[in-house]
Amino acid sequence: MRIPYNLEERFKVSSSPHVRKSWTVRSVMLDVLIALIPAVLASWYFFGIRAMLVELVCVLAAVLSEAIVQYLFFEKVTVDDLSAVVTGLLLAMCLPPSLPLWIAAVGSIVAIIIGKQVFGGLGNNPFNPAHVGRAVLLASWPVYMTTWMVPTKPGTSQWLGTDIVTSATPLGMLKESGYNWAVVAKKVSLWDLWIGNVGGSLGETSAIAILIGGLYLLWRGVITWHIPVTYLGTVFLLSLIFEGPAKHIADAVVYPPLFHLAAGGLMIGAWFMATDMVTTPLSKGGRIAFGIGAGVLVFLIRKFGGYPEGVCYSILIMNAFTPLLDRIFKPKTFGEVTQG
Amino acid sequence: MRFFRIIWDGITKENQVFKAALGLCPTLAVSTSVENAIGMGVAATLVLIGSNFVVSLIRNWVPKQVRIPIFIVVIATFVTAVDLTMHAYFPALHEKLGIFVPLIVVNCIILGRAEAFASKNNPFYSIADGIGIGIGFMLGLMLLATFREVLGAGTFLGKSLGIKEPALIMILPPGAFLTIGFLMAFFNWAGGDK
Amino acid sequence: MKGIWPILALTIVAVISGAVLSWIWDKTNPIITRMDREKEEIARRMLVVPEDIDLSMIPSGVYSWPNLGVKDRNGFESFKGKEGVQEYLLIWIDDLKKVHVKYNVPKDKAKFIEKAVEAINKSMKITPQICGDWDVYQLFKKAISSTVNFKKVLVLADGTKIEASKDGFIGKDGQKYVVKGDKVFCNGKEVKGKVYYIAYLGGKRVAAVFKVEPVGYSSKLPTLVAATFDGTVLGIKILSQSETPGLGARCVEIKEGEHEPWFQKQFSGLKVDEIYLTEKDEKPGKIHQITASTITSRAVTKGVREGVQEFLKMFGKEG
Repeated sequence: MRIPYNLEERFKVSSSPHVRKSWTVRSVMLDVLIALIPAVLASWYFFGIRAMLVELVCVLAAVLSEAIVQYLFFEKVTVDDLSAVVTGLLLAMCLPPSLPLWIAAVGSIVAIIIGKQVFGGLGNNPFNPAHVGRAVLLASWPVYMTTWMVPTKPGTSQWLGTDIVTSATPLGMLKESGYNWAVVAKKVSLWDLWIGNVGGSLGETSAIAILIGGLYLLWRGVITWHIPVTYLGTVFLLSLIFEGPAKHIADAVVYPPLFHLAAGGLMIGAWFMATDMVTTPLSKGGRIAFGIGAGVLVFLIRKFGGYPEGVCYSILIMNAFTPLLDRIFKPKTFGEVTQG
Repeated sequence: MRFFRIIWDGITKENQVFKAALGLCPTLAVSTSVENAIGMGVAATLVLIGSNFVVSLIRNWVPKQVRIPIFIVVIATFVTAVDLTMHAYFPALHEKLGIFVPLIVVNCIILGRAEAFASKNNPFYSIADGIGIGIGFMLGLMLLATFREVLGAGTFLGKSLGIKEPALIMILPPGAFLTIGFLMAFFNWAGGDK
Repeated sequence: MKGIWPILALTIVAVISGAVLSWIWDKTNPIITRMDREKEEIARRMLVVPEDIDLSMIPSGVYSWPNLGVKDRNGFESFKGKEGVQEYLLIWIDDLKKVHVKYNVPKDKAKFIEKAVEAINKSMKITPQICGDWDVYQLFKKAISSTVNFKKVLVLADGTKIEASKDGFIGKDGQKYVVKGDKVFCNGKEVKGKVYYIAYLGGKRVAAVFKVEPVGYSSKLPTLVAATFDGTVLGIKILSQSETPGLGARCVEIKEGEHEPWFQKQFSGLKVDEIYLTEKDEKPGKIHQITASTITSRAVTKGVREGVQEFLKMFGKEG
């Protein structure tokens, strides 16, 4: 039996009240997992054993904590819907590969318990659980969370996890150089950035691998184009307008926007986090507003904020706006008369 | 005896932090370490007892129209006195608590007790209420601070517990919200409230 | 008639409160201001005294911590302790540069003092290693630091220097300058100026101490800087901060097994053009930044550097 992925094709999806059909959760999550395969493979290629370990620990901790919490509170254990696996894996994708494994496990537990279960489980959480986990880790162990491993090649000692060389992320370099594009352009080529050959989180570095996964989700109808396109488009436009005429770079006009798109967690944020069905608006208008708001926030945080990267916070902040956006862009009730 | 019943109620049934959810601003801000919590708790208790007593003494002469300004003046007097005394004789603690000692003036617990209890009861029971509510507030602060200090700094009363990598978030503001959320949930569950 | 009673009641309560408060203020204010002044004064003195104290630098005489008012050897020999002073250390350096002490300290520290005196008399130096115990060393250092004399000099924005006299800062044209906290007033108007404390040790002018106030990530960082007249930083002391715990607040962190904040200690002995962060700064310097707290590290470094630069501009020619 073909499960109806593309809900909008078949039903009218609207804001509450509505009947919740939980039997599609598993298939949707399965599609997300499939879409994550390229990014996971890229992380294995660039970061080796450490990447595998962090991902394994995150997924295991997420599944276990979900099962234990649901068991303890006499709820139906819904681990087999794979949502905990997706949360764990998405969290792992936002973590640095050199992170001690117990911190990764704590992140997963926090993501599941504080990010999801305290609100009543899947479907009731206001914030993206994976990003909640990441935000907590960043506040708790800032030193570990901002120590980045240099990407490597399979087979080297670093790939096997025996010794680890660290460096700054491209966005970190940009911030530390005081937004001096010339300095960064010398160190980071656009090709390395897009392919993922730079320091950074496990799954965030390879923009192309994530893009492939994102397009797969789009094709399967699990997500709609509104948020990714407006999110990425806003960042692109803003950096084109405000960073475009950078001096001393050969490809002065394109470098900053393309850099902003591929650097940090923007890609995975746009395709996997900001499209989370539970925590983002349901209406088209709401989604477009969500994407634009998140894009503006990312750019503001990167350019003016204290942190080099702002994707996590931008999505969490816009998550908080979701109910408001849903209310503003509520479709008209049948028979409702427009007020003149 | 009613005197002790009032004290006991102030600590348990009418616990201002966990049951009434009052005074959360100083609660969240100063519960970063147990030492701060005790200092803040003692300061607030002293102010509570003093203000409750005085408000209760003058309750029959205070005209209704100006009762809030009068209560605030009384409370502010006690707070300033406690603040200055603390600054002069416990400078280290005063430095840590910083702005939150003067801010006891606008702590809703103290004005709330003056309005809800002291202005309706005799001075004797008002003192009991001050003691009970004050101790309840202090215990709430200490409980919160214990979790936050142990998890967030790896210490208890400043002594190291051998925790190598404490979770910094617990002594930052988000940790305060998380902890108080879980504690309130626990007390509601344990108290059988729905 | 009806409206008068509320106003009267409020007035009566306010007056009584005011009376109570002014009484408490009278009691506590002197203590508070004295403590603040003492804290800064101690920090200032301790910064000027070098880590390794060479006794040949120190003129013979009697030094004490806290100040017990003992001036000469006769006073030292007849000193029998003082009521109300629980902890003190009295040092008499005689003309042969031999050290004698009288003290009242906790028992576990007392055994170190006798040993320290022996060792000091042998090597003619006071260092943490020779003292064998950090608290004892601090006591010695505090006592010795009482030999430092400060001359206050007010430097106005145009470079005019006014030395403090008995009546305060009196300008050439007889104008009186009043220093309140970090602000300078002249005839009730605020003027730009800064007070430098010129330190004299054994009659020789050795260094100057001044305050800089950089703004960190979330708070002001009032910092005392001690520098010699050729522009070498002797040491800095961050007087207060409220930066992020675990990040910026580590600027006052003391590592386990050490006694001084490692971040501030790095500044000792640096020249102006070395006071930069090792990385992420206009040019590479010698200050290692606090991990993940570039803003705080940079603020302190920049504040100290600019303070020293300004100091050299004002006093450099004299050096």
